[in-house]
Amino acid sequence: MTILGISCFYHDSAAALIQDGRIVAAAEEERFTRVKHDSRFPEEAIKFCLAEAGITAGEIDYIGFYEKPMLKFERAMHTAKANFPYAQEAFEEGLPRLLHEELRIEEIFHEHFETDAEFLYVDHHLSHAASAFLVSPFEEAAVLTVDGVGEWATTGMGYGKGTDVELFKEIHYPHSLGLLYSAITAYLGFKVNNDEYKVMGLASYGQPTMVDKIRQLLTVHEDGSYALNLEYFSHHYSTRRPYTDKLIELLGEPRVPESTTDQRHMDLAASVQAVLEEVLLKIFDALHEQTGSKNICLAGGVALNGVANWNVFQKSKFEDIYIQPASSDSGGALGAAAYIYHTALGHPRTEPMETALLGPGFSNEQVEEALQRLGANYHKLEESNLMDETARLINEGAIIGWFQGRMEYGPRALGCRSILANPCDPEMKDTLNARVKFREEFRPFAPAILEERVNDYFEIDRPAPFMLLVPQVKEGKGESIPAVTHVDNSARVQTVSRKVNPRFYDLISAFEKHSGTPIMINTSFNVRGEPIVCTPDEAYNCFAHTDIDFLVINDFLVEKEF
Amino acid sequence: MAVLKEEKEFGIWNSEFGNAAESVSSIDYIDNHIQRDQQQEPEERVEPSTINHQPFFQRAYRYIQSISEYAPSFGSKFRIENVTEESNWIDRKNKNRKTAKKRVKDLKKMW
Repeated sequence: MTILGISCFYHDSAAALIQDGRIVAAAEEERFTRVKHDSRFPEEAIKFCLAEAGITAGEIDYIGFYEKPMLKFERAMHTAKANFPYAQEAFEEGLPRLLHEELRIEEIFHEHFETDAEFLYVDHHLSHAASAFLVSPFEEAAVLTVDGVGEWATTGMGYGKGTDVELFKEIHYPHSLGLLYSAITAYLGFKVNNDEYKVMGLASYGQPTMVDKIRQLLTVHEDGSYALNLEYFSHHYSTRRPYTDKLIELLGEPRVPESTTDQRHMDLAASVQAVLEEVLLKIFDALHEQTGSKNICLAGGVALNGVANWNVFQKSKFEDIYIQPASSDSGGALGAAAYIYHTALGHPRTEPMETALLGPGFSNEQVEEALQRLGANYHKLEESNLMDETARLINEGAIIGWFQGRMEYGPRALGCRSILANPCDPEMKDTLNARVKFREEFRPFAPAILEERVNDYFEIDRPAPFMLLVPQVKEGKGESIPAVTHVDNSARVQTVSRKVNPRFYDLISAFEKHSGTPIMINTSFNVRGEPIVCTPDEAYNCFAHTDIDFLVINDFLVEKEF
Repeated sequence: MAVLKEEKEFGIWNSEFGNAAESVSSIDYIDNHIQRDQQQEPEERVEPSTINHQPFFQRAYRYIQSISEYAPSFGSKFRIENVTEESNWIDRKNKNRKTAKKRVKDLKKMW
């Protein structure tokens, strides 16, 4: 049985294909169209999924859409009318998209693909919940979904057991933890639905001196539910900015985009992060009390906040955690497909999702054809030589573009479309920023470490394969890996196992032989503002137009001599 | 009034407009409100002076009409009565569908 899941028309459009319970392929549309956070119908991602499975659209049994369009339409109507006339612009901008795209999703699909497949609609937060629980290693678990907004829900508490997953309580729009965080993101001069992780990174430089002010923005109940004080927010009627003048009265003048960040900005970021964690902990506690489960599964955009994930999980009564690597809306595509296959149709669950490497991959022949066509200076190496040579180069200070196997599903580069460098070099963070990434200096780089060695360096007792947990660096270890130790001694760690990514594992092992450190810097293979590279051509172009020293692409080492 | 009937039927009627709006649809009521407002001095107006309401209402009217084409019986999911002073959680009404056929039937709905 073949089920295609799709998510689109808000942000991060994506497609995912499940065949007989196995996740065959999943990818975001932006990786093909090169439009960051592309929200359009995911035609290219669907084509990729079908090609990966070797089927046509006519062979799909069910198509799952990641939300209920009519409920979203209803919410938009309610919101426009309740906030009239101030919501006029939002109404005029939003409703045509809903009417001409989302409500017509079935017609639009048939305009692009020929199929008799049944079209099914899974609630937005149920798609998130399914994307976490149904592919988790747990037989039963509590489930928490938190994002900006789906149809009406912005937060969902639920429970999964066997093939069933359901949400039993929700918080509805306009009350939203995700939109609270987004409002502060906008206030701090960053882009909503894109830069929330920058606020998380900035928070480490500050002190939560403004938590009392942030607490004025919402009422939090003992059972973890909350309500925003809407006097401070305008996301429910404005598309221009999500906060009101009253927020400016409370917090002072907002930061101008691209201007320098000062201590007040850092303290504000730390304060909103602290309040987010306070509320999440209450929800964790409520969820634990109601389900009695030892396990928790997370999804929704807020679950990409690795600092909150780890801090709250540690303080909670849960003993184990699983987080969907594509936790933002792109993961809804997988969740919708998984919900239909397992929960609606009752098919037993299969292998847990241990890898996010579900995107396009390229053979050596395809890569070599591209390198020849592009006039690249390259040579092919045997596997062991390739690992040793690459590790040696990294140890000597080189910045490497690393392109191997299938691309990652979700926002993180996990060792297949990565830029790698030496974490022991105290200058490497600035070097990477100045030569390649051109990003804000306050943002940390992530360490990728051999899975079995994680406890040697970090205060964490479990794998973190998706870079979604941010523990502390062990005392005395930070000095040895300064380029990946954040200012507050934390690290956005990724554990690498040989089972999931043997080539990346072997490279880190080879690097340890050269440097004595089983860790390397892993940052996404792109430049600021662009999607992560997908094809050999894009990898080469990124390599050629930046100060990346070498490109290692499948079995080929590419040097920068034109 | 067809629009009024549809607004009530589909649960998008805004009771905050009160009794004054009972005889007309919400859209008509809002339209009247804006026309009255625009007769005020600029500093007395409620909404932005740049508002161009005619295209807005034409579209709004069509949007509301189109609801019936897509889902003649969908109802509001907004259950504000669940919210109390102690809690903002809203109970989700999960249907206990035991067969795959019934579950798939639920998923066919866009609402």
